[in-house]
Amino acid sequence: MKTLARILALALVASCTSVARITERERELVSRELRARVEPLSTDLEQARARELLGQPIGRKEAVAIALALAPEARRALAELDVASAARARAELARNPLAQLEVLRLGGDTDVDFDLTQPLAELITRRARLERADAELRAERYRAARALVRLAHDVRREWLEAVGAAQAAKLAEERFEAEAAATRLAEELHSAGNLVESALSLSRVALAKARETASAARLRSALALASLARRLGAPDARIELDTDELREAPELELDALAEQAEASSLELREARSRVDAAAHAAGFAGREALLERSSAGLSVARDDGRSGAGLTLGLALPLFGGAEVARAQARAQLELELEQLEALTLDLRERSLSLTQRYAAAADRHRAAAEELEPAARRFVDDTLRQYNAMQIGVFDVLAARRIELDAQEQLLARALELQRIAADVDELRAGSLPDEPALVTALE
Amino acid sequence: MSLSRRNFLTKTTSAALAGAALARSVAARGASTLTVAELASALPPGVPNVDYKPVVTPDGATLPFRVVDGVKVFHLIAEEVEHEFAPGLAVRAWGYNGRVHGPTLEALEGDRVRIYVTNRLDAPTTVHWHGILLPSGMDGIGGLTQRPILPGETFRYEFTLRQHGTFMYHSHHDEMTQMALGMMGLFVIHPRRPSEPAPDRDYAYLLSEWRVDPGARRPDPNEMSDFNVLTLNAKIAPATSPIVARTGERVRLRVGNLSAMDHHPIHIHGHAFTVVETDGGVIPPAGRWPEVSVLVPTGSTRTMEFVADNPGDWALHCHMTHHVMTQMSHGIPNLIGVDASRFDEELERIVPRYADMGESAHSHGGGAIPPNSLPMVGTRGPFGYVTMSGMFTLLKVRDELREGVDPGWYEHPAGTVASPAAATELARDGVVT
Repeated sequence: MKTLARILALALVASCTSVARITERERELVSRELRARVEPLSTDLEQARARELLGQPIGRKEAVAIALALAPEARRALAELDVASAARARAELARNPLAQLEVLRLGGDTDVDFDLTQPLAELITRRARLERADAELRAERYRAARALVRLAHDVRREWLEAVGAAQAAKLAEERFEAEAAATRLAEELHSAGNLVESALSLSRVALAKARETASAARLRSALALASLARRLGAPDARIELDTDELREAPELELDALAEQAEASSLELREARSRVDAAAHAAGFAGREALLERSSAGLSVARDDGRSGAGLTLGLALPLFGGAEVARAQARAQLELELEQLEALTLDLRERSLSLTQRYAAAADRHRAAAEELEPAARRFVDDTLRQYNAMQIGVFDVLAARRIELDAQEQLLARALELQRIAADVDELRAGSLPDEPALVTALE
Repeated sequence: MSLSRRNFLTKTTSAALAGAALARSVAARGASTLTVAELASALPPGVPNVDYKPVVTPDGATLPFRVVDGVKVFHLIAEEVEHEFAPGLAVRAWGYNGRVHGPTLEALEGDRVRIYVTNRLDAPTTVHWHGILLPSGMDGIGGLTQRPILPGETFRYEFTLRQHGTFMYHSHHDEMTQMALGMMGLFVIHPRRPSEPAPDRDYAYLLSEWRVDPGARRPDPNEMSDFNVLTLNAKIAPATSPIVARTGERVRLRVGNLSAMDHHPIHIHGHAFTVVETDGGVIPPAGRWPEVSVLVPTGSTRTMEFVADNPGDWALHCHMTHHVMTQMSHGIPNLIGVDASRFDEELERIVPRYADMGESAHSHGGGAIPPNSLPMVGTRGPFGYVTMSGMFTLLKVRDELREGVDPGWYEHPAGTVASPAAATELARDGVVT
């Protein structure tokens, strides 16, 4: 019994050591994947430092780093990986042998039978099961890495929306200020007897509309900030944004995007791992079903004062075709995984193509807005101001020109956001995560 | 072409009859000093400074001529011209011989003139000799009395001047466009036998109006009513040269008007004058009366005479107040009664970068204005800013003058300039302010 206890204790220790080792290794592998796919600074921030960063104006890199440190989605992805690591450790361990002790007192005699058996399937399919478990763990590792890459880019998108909403609110505020100033002048002219009532009323209508627009824009900005804070894992934080980055239009080279996407896709790797796992499972499913409940082992007996030892073998009778069903099920699972792999490959190519097209169109629209529309509108205001200085037109004409300029600035903001959203999607695709299909109409449009 | 006796008799008889008819016509209008016989014959060409004292076209020029076989030959070249109304405002106009307006044609009554017109424009044109009595085929109406002069062509106009007075010439093909772009000039015909003594000073002005939006560089011929550059000899103050006279001199002022849509009441300060001629002829002395302003309708000339008997710097201008403002707009809010500087403050809220553009003209500041524009400018005077531009110039009357030299600002005798009233003066005269 002592020996048996020692064996059991060693097995337990070995089991625990194995889970910790695998977990640590897997987390490190995921971290390595993340560092390779998401820009530096962002993958291993301590929580305390992340909270410090929240007190400063944050750009998108800081936002990503904070989220990876604080967001529940990040912790959940790693916890799921831990579960998979444990499952892999468990798969490595042999199942505990079955010890059966039978003590019978028959008359004055005591008969003792002791059997120590191990399931046959355990012995025969061990190697294949380990390979399946390895494949499943790889799949989980890629899934976890993908979840973190997705989180990083979701945060980037949320940051973009918050920045965009803040800038839209600023423009709405400027529009309101302009209308308010013009209305004050209209009131002054009216009280001097120089402006008819209807002109003053028109100015007040424009002011009321601008006030409502500015209020709505402020609300959208606040909601976008709150959403970003939640995404960062700090819903109570008062976030200040560093908005300079939005001004730089990303310039992307997308000729080889599909190839790059396929080469780096974590989803493809996960799917291939699941195909591997399913293939391994299909390889031993029949044998496992056949040997289900079958076992072999040692048997010791004492009967009528005599003792003896021998082998024991228990076989399940394959009367009902369970093995065939198990093989069919495993093959079906393998087919399913292969189909999903194929579908995913097609999705990647389609998304690469659509992103390339969207980027080309968005870059063109952004260029038109940034290089033509907005400068032209600005020049128009400047020219209008010169005409105003020359007393050719009045202040309300200047306001009309300013409205056109604000329209152009809003359009440029929308185009910049559109381009940045696409850039985020492209980066996510290159980082190994398939971004969602874009909504056809964005909030700012 | 050979001239047979029969043809000769026919032609000379016709000419005599035409001359007699013309004589009746011009005599009835009091525009000729020639006899019927003279009207029907060729007279020797008049010589400047001998047969007549040439007119002065301030800021303009007189077209030179040659005499060929007793005919005065002029050459007008219609072409695009870079023209400056005043420093800061220049346009691509259409004119003649590199000028806007074209140079003044000057001749003597009875002169035979041959005027070549070369068209260097991209458009067909003609020249009409406005108010001059001539054969119908020389009247210069495109499509009516001749075919237009095509780009690159040179046409010849030839006729004998049977009248004297102040006349004009201008394009009469696509007139709205070509006159709006500047195609006009003066045509002065001096009397061969003046009935009155020649004036000491003889000045000629042509009035016109233009639409040039601030920042634009070409007059807009489509404008119908809101002209914003009103010119004296195609110049606006402060670029209009003053006219001068010595005290006691008799001054003749010829004013023609070829504005598209406006008549101009020309007003002279400090003097009363008499209108002695129109382009219809001499006004008999009994029919003249004194004036200080005379309306010069569009398509007309008026010739005034006065004795410059009042030394000083005197304004000479159109009395329509909008015609002495340059590049004025009429669509701006009325700012009377409000603090214009408040507009600049609020404008900085409407367009924050406005603060970098300087103060606006609304508050009499010096803010940035469109290039090539002179909006609402005035003229610097000895006592400050004269808020007139456009059809505004000066008549400078001095006891002493050096010919060809601007006498500068008038030095007023002591006590003859309006000045702030002293409290003692107000009290003395019982004026409560």
